[in-house]
Amino acid sequence: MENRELVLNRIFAAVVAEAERAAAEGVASPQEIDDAMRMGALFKKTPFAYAAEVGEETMRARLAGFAEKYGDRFKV
Amino acid sequence: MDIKKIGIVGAGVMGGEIAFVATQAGFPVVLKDIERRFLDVGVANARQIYEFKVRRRRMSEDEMEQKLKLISVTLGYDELADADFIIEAVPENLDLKRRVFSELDAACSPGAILATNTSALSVSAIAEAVSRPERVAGMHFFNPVSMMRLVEVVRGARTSDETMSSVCALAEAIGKSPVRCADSAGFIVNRLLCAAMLEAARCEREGLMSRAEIDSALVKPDAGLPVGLFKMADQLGIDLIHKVMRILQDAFGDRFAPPEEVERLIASGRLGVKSGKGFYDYGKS
Repeated sequence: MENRELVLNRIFAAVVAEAERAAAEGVASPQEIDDAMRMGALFKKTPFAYAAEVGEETMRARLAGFAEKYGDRFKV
Repeated sequence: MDIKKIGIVGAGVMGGEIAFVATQAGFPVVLKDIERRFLDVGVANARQIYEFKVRRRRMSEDEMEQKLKLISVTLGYDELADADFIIEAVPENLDLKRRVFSELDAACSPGAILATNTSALSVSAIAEAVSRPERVAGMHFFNPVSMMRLVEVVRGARTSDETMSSVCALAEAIGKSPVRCADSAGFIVNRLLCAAMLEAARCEREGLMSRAEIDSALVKPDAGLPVGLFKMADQLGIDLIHKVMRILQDAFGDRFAPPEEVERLIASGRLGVKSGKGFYDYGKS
């Protein structure tokens, strides 16, 4: 299914963007955010670990592309 | 801080579960509510979790009865006067929580910590109701409390470092893993989960995949969610999801606006698992 990758990328990118905003606002540190999502939401791929796995440059480019196409919620 | 007695105010499902984890770790607990039947439900919940452990041979019946003896119940505040630590778990209404906190402020010793299990309200706003806001913090448990390790420990505007440390220490003493965060809407988990759910909803609305296909993809190992996002919304309750999204929308903007579909589901009584239908139908049982 061609859209599968896009849908998963968008959902995870949305979480990454929101996690980066939360960290920038001082809500919690990236480690604390990842710990919370692992233990409270049972995510195996927590936002900052996922972004590192994707690769910083790729993640930036993906977020920028999504922001362009889908809106400011992807802008960090 | 040496905690000898924990007061739990609000004996609902959460209250009963918190009573279980506290007594399992050996802490005497006083469960307080406004009606006898709520107390009965809270104690029954705690007993049920213990019975499950006994059936699984994780403890003996004797041990269970010893632990349950640690729970006492009350309809008034007198038994909380010597509590060192209070965990408030009454319904999510700011006026109600403020009233309860001012009552606790009057009833409890000045050194007692007053923690709120709120998931949706501002800890700082609740703390305004007491004369000791530095002793107020958020202690946000996750459902089901008996199984979920995380506690979000929320620093209110006036919460002291000492209070934060004491709340984290108690969380660890009862087998939980505390994560500290600021008093921000949705704290960490609810905010990020809603962001994920909203994006999934947009993808469905745009016709990219059906909700069942999205949920199925999300639980595969390469995505690694415990359950699909639409299914999760059904489990948590669509009315609750809507409420949290509106709070997030007010705090952060329209990217958190609940989708029309959510409003339609609520209007037609589709509140999720609890009403037998939500994003999915849950068949006759």
